[in-house]
Amino acid sequence: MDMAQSRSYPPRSERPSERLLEVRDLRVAYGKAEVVHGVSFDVRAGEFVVMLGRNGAGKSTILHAISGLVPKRDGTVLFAGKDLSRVPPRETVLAGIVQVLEGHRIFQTLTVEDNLLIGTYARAPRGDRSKLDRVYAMFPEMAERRHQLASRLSGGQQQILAVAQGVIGDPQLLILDEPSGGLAPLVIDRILEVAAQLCAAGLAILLVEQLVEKALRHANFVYLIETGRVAAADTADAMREGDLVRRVYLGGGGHDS
Amino acid sequence: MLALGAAALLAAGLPFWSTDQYQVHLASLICCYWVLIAGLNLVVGYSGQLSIGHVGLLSIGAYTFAILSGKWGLPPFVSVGVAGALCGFCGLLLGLPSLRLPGFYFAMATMAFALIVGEFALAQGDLTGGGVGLPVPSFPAPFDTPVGFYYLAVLGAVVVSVLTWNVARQMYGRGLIAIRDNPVTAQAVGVPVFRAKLTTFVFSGMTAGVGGALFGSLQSYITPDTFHFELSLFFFVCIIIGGRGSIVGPFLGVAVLTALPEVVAPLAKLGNFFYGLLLLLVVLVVPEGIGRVFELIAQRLRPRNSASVPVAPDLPRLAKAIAAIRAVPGEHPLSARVVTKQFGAVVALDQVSLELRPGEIHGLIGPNGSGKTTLLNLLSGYYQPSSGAIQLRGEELGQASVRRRAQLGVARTFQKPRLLGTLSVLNNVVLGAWTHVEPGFLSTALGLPRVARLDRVLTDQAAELLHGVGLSHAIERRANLLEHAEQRFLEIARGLAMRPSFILLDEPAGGLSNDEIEHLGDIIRTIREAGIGVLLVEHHTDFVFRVCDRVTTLDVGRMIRHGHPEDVRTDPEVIRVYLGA
Repeated sequence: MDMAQSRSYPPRSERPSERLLEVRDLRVAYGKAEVVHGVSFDVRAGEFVVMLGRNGAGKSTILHAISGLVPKRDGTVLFAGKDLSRVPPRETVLAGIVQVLEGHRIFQTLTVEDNLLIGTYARAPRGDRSKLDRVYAMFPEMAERRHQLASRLSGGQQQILAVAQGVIGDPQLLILDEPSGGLAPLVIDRILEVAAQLCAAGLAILLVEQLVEKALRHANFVYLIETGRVAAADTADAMREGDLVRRVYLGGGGHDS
Repeated sequence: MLALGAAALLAAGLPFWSTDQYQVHLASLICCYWVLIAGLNLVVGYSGQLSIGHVGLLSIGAYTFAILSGKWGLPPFVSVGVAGALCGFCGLLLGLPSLRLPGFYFAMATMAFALIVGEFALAQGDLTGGGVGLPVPSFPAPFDTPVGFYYLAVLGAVVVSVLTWNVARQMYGRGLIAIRDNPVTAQAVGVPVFRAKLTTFVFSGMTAGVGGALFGSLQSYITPDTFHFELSLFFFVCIIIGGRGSIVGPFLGVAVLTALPEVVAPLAKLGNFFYGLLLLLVVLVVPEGIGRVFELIAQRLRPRNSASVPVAPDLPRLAKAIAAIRAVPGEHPLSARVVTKQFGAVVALDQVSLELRPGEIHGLIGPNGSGKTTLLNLLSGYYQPSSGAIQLRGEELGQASVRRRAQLGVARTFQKPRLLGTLSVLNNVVLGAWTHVEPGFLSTALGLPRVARLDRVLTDQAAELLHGVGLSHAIERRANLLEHAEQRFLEIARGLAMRPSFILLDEPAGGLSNDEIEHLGDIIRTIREAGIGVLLVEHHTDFVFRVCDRVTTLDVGRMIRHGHPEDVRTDPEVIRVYLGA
């Protein structure tokens, strides 16, 4: 049924030229164990980039390093020409990067609406209510529950809230780390659809996802991460047609890692 | 064990190589403190209850000993026994109401207790001598000299060490750590949370009483000022900087913190300065405590291969491991009959029925917030139905607790894996067998061979399960070092160690890659072949329709379709609300 649905936003054959996010030779280590061994990649303006890879390949670590949530051992992160290699997480948000972490991390003791307002905190410390309507339109189930405590939402609804909290921050680059976690198929489709719409409106998307087929449906460009390195990089069309993804990632091979 | 032996030898030899009476006194003091702290360590370091009021129990022990053997002339050793028993009883009285309080409120209650005891000692002049205090008699020969008393104190310290060592290393200790790190998990595997907390607290009261008697005798004269509140904090600090979940660590803590101010005595007033400096250093450099340093050194000496290995289950071995621990599979279902669950005005589940049969994989799907996890929580006992019934083997489960259902053979996993991060992978699984040991505190503490033997058997069985689900490479690893898929599989292994008739899996495929989902499917099928009923709450619908024998679909708390996977998959209503085109 995944394949039955056609793509609403077909990938472009060429990448846009303007580099929004440039990551060069990124190395990250936990203690002495290096888990990301010199990764370089770009996200270009208005592009929908998907990062694939097995669990434990280092995808989340790379995302965390971009946002400054884990220290980098080495490497540079440039965003819209600004050097973000050594700045605290808050600076990356102010620069225009918002990351939705995996595992529905929201504020359990706050209401849905307060959770959303916190998403606007970086630019409007008192909360920007004017942004609420647009987000409620995208996620009507949040509008219905706006005064409920987030802890009373189901696991999947909390994940929707986490994504909504990221979207309301009006980023230039929205990073989504496994947004499908705990979501019903229809909702996953809708969240990816929302991401694609935002992308069409000029936002850049960087998505990490285990649901390969669904993720590839909207992607322009794909990076394949294997044991802390970029194993392959190509347009989504080429990835779909080639057997590289299947061979390295879907279990046909690559067990020698 | 070797370290303990060496320490005992060192302790026994102390009076021979040290001619300084003061050093012997200091060593005796450390031993007296340790008798109390070893018991308190089980409360604070293992079960995670923050008691800062043990000085109250210490003073009750000391006064009891002084009054009984000094004023009333009872034999000293009888007085020590009475002091221990009385303080155990005080622990019971204090613990019964206060152990239900969360974290810091419990700490406040124990603090209040310590202050009340102090005021009581001051007010009851006839009994305690009030502010003037009481002389405390010494023990009879050969324990009436400083060296003699020292050996008595060492004996007490060794006995208490062995008792707590036995508790910490076996099933009871795993249960206590579960209570500390993840009470929900503790309940899920059937640990009687409150009873275990209370038992441990009563034990700590008894050791405080005995420690108090020894301490009083060592001081030879006690007043309410002897038991100042800082002493209580001192006990607490010894455990925290020694390291939670360790016995050697807190022992070093008390030894160093007692000796340090004296060793730097020439600098007189700077004693407290060094004391503070040491605290600061430990908290900054090894926040997990001194005990952790030894673990880290051990890891350095025996470097393990921690390379990432794809999880590859060994299905025949898994089948064998399950068969080895499971009794004859039952024939009766676990069922929910027209259950409704309301939270305030919100109806989360509306008259839903579901029957989970042995040897069957039953899928439960539906949009987010449709009530899947609520139903799972009703079946496993975390919630009670507002109306309707949950039945097992035709019997009404009614208000049966989570623990009771674990005993009856209902196991579950969680949306976010709930593991005990500081324990090894193996110990996480062994914990699952709690209800098949139902360990008693006393039999564990005494180190009865039958308890130890059972523990070894269960450990072997748990290891087999781990080999079966494909975690051979990670058995000795700390659980918080596992990757996501490994955590999921570990939770399933823990569930299987409970020897369940039914296992409820809450989104087990969440965050897994495609090949890992294939492995998960193989594992679930193997579990079914063993005659266990599996409830699978999951959003990976391709996976659900592939492995399930029957599927139930919920939407906004109501059941909309139920039956064979193929019928459910093609049902227009299911497609409309859930699957999408």
